[in-house]
Amino acid sequence: MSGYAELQVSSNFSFLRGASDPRELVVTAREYGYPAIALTDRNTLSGIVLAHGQLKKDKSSTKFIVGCRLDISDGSSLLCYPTNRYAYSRLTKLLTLGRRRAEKGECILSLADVADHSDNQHFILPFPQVLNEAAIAHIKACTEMFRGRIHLALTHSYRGDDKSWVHTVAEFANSISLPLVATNDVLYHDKERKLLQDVVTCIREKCTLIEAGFRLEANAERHLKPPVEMTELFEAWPDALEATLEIAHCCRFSMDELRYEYPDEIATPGKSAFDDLEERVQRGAEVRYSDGIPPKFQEQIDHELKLVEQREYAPYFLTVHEIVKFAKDQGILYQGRGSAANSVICYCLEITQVDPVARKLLFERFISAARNEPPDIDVDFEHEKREEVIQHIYEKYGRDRAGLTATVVHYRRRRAMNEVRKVFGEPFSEEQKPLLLELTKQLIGFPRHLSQHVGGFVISRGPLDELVPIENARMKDRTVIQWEKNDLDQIGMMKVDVLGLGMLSAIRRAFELLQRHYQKEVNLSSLSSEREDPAVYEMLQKADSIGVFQVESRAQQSMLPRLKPKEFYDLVIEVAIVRPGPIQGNMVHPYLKRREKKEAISYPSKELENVLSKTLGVPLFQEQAMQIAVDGAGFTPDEADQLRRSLATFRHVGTIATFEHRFLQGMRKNGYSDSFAQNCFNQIKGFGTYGFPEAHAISFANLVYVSAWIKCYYPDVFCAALLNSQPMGFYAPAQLVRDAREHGVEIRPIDVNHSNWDATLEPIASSSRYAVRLGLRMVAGLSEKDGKALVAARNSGYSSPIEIANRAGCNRRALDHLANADAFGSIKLPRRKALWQTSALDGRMPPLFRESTGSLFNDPEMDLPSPKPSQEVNADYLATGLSLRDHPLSFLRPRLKIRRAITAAELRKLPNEKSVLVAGLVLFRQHPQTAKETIFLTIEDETGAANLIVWKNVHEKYRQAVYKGKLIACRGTIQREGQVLHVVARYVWDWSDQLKNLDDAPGAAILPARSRDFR
Amino acid sequence: MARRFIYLYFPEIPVDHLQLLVEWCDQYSPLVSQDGNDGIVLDIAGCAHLFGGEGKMLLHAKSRFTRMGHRVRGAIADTQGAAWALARFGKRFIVAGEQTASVLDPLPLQALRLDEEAILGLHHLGIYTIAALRKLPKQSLATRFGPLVVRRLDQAFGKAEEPLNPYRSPAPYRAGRILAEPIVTTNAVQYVLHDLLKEICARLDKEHLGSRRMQLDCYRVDGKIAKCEVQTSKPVRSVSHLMRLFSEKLDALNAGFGFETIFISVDDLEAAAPVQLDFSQISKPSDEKSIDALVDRLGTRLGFNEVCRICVCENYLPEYAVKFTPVTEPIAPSAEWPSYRIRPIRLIDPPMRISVSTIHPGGSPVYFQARGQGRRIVRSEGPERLTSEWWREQTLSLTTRDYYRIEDDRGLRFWIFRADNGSWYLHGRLP
Repeated sequence: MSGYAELQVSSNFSFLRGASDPRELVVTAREYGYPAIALTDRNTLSGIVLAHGQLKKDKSSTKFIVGCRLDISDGSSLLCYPTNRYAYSRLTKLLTLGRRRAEKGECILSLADVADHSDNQHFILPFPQVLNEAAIAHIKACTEMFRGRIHLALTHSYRGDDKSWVHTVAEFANSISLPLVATNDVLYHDKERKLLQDVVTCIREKCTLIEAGFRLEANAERHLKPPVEMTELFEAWPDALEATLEIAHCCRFSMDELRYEYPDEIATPGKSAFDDLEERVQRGAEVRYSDGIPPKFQEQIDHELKLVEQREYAPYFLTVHEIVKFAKDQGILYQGRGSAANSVICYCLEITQVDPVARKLLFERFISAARNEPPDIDVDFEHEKREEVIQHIYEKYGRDRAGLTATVVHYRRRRAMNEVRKVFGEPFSEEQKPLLLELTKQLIGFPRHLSQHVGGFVISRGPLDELVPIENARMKDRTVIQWEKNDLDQIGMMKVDVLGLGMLSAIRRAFELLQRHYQKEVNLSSLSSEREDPAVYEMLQKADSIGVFQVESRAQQSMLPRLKPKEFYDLVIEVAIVRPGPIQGNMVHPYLKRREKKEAISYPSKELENVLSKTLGVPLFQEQAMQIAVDGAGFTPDEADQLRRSLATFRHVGTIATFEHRFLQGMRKNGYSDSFAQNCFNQIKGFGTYGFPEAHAISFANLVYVSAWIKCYYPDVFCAALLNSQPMGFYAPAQLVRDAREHGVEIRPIDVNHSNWDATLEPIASSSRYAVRLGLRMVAGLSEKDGKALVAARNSGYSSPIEIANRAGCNRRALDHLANADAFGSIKLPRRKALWQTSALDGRMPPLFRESTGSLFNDPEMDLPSPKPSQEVNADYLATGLSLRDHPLSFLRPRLKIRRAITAAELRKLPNEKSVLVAGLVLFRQHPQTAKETIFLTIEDETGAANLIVWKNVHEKYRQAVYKGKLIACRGTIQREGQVLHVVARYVWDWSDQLKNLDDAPGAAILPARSRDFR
Repeated sequence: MARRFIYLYFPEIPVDHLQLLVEWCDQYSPLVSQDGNDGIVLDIAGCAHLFGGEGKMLLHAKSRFTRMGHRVRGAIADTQGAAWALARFGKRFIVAGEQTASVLDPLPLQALRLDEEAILGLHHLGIYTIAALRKLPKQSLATRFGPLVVRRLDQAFGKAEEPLNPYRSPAPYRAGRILAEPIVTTNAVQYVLHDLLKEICARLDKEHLGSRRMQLDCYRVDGKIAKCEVQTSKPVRSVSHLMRLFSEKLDALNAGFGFETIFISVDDLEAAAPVQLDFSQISKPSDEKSIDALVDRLGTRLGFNEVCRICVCENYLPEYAVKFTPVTEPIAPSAEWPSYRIRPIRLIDPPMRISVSTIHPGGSPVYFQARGQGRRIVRSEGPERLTSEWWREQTLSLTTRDYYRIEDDRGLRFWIFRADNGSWYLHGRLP
C-alpha cells in the first residue's frame, strides 16, 4: 500500500450530519484509488453493510475498514476500529450496551465502558479545535488507557492558522508520546454536497440557514479528497500520512468473516438438526396424507430436503416450526403467507395450509439453487395475540439472541420538502425555489431514523449482539438490530416475519363460538381440505361478502359478480386480480373477457404459454410477470429479481428507467408487440410493491373461503366474531350488524343484565339458531375494566344503576355512558330516566358513603321530556355507533322525497344510463392509487348502499361536499355492468344540514358520520 | 333602584381589538367591563337619561360601533346574565322585570354561560331550553351538574349576585387633572404636565421604580383624545428628564378647541434602584450628562431606531459579522468569536482590488501593489477559506475566498483575499 487512507468518514447514517450515502463514499474512494477507506458513523454500524457490499460488488481493491465514532456522554469522542473478528463483536456489544440503556435513537457510553471493550481495538482521537483543560485531560486519559493503539488525528480545516495550530497540537502530542495520524474528517463525497450538509445541519439544529451561524461549516473542505491532495497538505507530517496506512493495515477484520448461525438447541437432543427436520416433515406428511403419501409428493419432499441439507437451512425451518408450534399450543391461529406456500416442507410442518404439489407451485420460488439467498418465511398470527408470540420469542431465545429487523425510514418527498422549506425560512422568494427543489431532491431517500420492521425476527445461535448492535425500539419491550432486510440478505442472515392479521382473530373467535353453541369442531386445516362447497360460491357470486376476508372491499365486490367464482382457484384469482399490479398493467379486462368466452385465449408466444396457461394467457401473479422478463425479455432470473427489488424501493429511480429500456428492447427482439411489452412492464412496476405471488394469493384465498363459509352457514357466529375483533376490516359495526339482520340474524340490544364485554350468542326459543347480543365494548367511553367489573359482579342481575355502582365499583361516568347507550332496558329504565339516576351519582364518593347517597334517588321522579323516535336513533348513534331502531335517513325521507331523491333500493330497479338523484350517509371515501383522478364514494340510506364514482372534474368542483360531507346528495347517471351498478356523479351537494332535523332541539349534538377513508 | 346592564356582543371582532372599544365606552358609564374576547358589559343604572332613555342609549352605542365597522349586537336587562343571553341569542333586546322570564325561557342552554360538559349532560336528558331547565329542582341540578349551573341560572334571573369588574381598576401610576377651563397653549399644557410628573415621579421614587414608557392623554372638548408618549432606554423617574422628552413632542399635539382633561399614565415600569446623590450632583443632576440621557434625547429627536448598538454575530463572512441594533431592543449578547478567526476593526467596503504576486500559482502571496504603491510581504499566514452563503445569493454553486493575514516590510499588517477567479482584494488593515 502507498499514499493515504481515509479513516474518519461520516455518512448519512450519522443522521443529519453526513451528506452522502455510504455507497457514494466508497465508490468515490475507489475511483480516487484509495488503498482503504473506513466508515465511522456516530454510535452506529447501520451503514457498514451497504459500504462493504458496494465495494464487494465492484470487486474493488479498495479495502473497507469497519469503524465507529463513539460519542461519549461527557461530550468527547473517540474513533474505534476493530482489528479482528473478536474486536468487532466487542464493538457491537459496546454499542448494544450504550443503546439498550438509552432512549430510542440515543446512546449512553462512558470512557470506562469503552475501556471494558477495548481489546484489539484501535483508536483515533479526533483533531481538537481548541486545547483547553478539558480537551487536554481527555486526550491524556485516553492516551494512558490505550497506549500503543491510539493516534491523534491531524486535520487541515483551512481555518487560517492551520500551520501553527497543527504544529501546536503536534507538539502537545509529542510531549505525551501520542503518535499522529492524518484524517480529513469527511462528511460528504463531493464538494457540491456542502449545500446539502448545510441544510441537514439546520434540520438537526432546528434553525434556518440565516440563523445557523457557526453551526455551519466555514467552507466546503470536508469532502473526500484525492490522496495526492492529502499528501500535499500533510507534506510536513510524513509520519501522520504513513500512520493512515499502518492503521489500515492492522485493521484486519473483514465483514466477510461474519458467520451467521441459526440456533441449534431446537433440534431434539441427540439428533442433528437435519435428521430432526426430516423426521418431523415425514411425520407431518403422514398426517396430511393419512391414507398414503402420493409418490409425487414424496418426491418433492426429498427434493426439497436435499436442497435444505445442502444449504444447511434445517435449523431455520425448525425454528419457524417451534414458533408455530407454540402458537398452536396456545390456541393462537396462524397461517404462513408469501412464498413459503411454495414449499412442501412448510406444508408438512403446518406452517402453511397450501399443498404446493397439488397446486403445482414451484419450490424454486422459495429457495432457489441459483440465487444464494436465505429463505424468508412470513407467518400471520391473530392480530391481538401477535405480541404474545413476539414476547415468547424474546423469552425463549433471550434478548441477546433475538431481535427485530430494522427498517430505515427514509425522507420522502413531502417530508423532505417541508424540512427544506423550514430551513430556508418563510417566506422564501421566487428565486429560491429552484434551490429548494434541488436540495429537496437530494434529501429524498436519505435515512432519517431506524424503525422496527413490522415483524421480522432474527434469531442466532450465539449472542446476536456479537454480530450487530441492538437498540431499543420506540415500543416498550421491543429491541431492534441496526440492520435492515437487505443488509441481512447480504450477510446471509435468515429472518422470520411474525405478522398480525385481524381476520385470524375473528376466525378463531368464530371457531370457539361454533364449538360452544353448535358443538361443531372445525379448524383451518379441516376447512381448507374441502373448500369446494357450492353454497359458499353462490353467496360470493352475488357479491354478498360484507365481512369476508379480502373480498369485502368495494372493488372486490364489483369484481365478484363478473368473475363469478365457482371453485377455489377462482378465489385465488379474485384475490390477485384486484391489485394495483394487474390494474396498472391493464390485465383485468382481457382476463374477464376471456373468462366470459368473449375473447379467444391466445398466447403471445410458445414460451409464454407455459407461464400463462393457468390464467388464460394474462399475467396476474407476480412470478408470472417476473417469468415474462426472463422468458420474454431475456433477463436472467437474478436480474429479474433485482428488477423487482429496485421497484420495491423507490430510491433507485434512475435504475428503473434502464431496466425498462432493456425490457422493452428484449421483448421487441423476441418478437413481441410494443404495446404488450409496455403493458407487461407497467404490470411489473405495479407488482414491485403491490403484486401477489401465486402462493400468497392461495394462502389468502384460503382465508377468504373459511370466512365466507362461516358467513354462509353461521351468520350469527360470523357477526359476533367480527364485532369482537374490531377494529379490523373494511366495515364499521353498524354495517356488520345491518348485514347480519338482512341475513335473518336477530340482534339484541346492549343491556347491563345480559351483555358481556364481548358480543355473545343467546338461544332463541323454538329455534336452532342464536341471536347476537351486542357487547358492552360497543358503549362509547366505557372502559374495558368497568365493563368487565360489571359483568363479574352481576350474579343474578341488577335492579338499579346504584347497585352497579356499589357492586361493580363503576363510577358515575361509566354509568352515564351505559345510560347514554340505553343499556338499562331490562330494568325498565329508558335512556333519559336512567341518565337522571346515574347523573346523581358522584364517582368521587368513597364506597362506604354510597349507600347513603341512595337518598338522592328519593328526589322527585322527574317528568323529563320524552324523546322523539328520531332523537332516540340519533342518541343511539352517538353512544354506540349504530341503532337497532331505524336508519336515521328514514326520518328524513319525506324531506328527501320533496327534493326528489330516490332510495338505494329504487336505484337498483332503474335501467342503465338513467339520470338519478340519490342521497345518503357517506360510508367510505376511497382515493385509490391506481385511479388517482377518481374518488369512489359509498353512501348508505335506510334501504341499502349505493356506489358513486366521482371523476376529477366533478370532485374538484364540489370539493367540500365530496371530502367533508356527512350526508351528501348526488345527481348522476346509472352505469350498469352486469349486476354491478354505479352512479357516475355529475353534481354533488353537501346535505349534512338536513341531519339537524333528527334532533331539532336547539344546540343538540348530531350523529357523527363515521366514514372510513381509504387510499 | 333596579340595576340595569347593557351587554354589547361583537361576533367578529379580531383578537386584541376589543380593548380599544372598552375605553371608548367610558362615556356611557363609569363601570365598564370587558367580557372575554368578544363582549363588553356596562352597568348603566342612572346613566341612560343622559342619552334620552335606554333605547336611545343603546341605539347611540350601536350606531357608533357600526360606523367604526364592527358588527355588534346589544341588549339591556336587569342582570348581566340576562343581557348576555339576549345579546347573543335573543329576539328582543330590552327587557325588564317580569318580562325577563318569558323572554329567556325559549332560549337554548348555551345562553346561560354553562360549560360544554354540563350542556351535553343536560341534552342527554332531553333538556334543551332554559324553560326546561327551570322546571328541574335546583338541588337535583346541583348534585348532577355542579353548583355553577344553578348559579348561572340564578344570576340570569337576578336571584344571585354577580359583581361587575370594571376594566379600569384605579391605575396605580396614573395621574390626571380635570381643568376648570379648556386650555390651548403649549405653555399651559406644560404647566399641568409638570405638576402631574412631579406627582407620579414622587411615587415612583418612593417605590424604587422607573418609567420606560409614559403616555399623555389630552381629552379634547370635541370628544377626541390627543395622545403622545415618551420612551426611554432605561427606567427613569427624573421630572426634568421626562419634561425635556415630552417637550420635544408637545408642539405636535392638536388642541382643537382646547383640552378639558389631562391624564398621564406609566405604561411600562421597571425596577430602578435608588441613587444616592452627592453634593455636586444635587446642583447638577447627573442624568442630564449620562450616556443614557444622551441616548434618550437622540432617540426622541431622531427616532429610537436610528440610535444603535454594535453587535457581533455568528457569521464567518466579515461583511455580515457585525450588526447594528436599535438601543431600545433588549441587549443581545455578542457571539463568542473564535480567537483564531482574526478580523480587522474596519472593513474596506467594497474590497479594494490589488495585484499580488505569489511564488507558485495558488500559493502564499509575496508582494502586493495597492494604489500604485508596491509592498514586499515578509510574513503571511493562511489561507482561511470561506465559502459564500449560497442561500443568500440564491445559487447552487459555491464561491470561495482564501484570506491571508500579511505583514509588509515596514511592519504594517493587512487582510487580503483571493477570489475564485484568481483576483486579489484588500479587505482591511490588521492591528
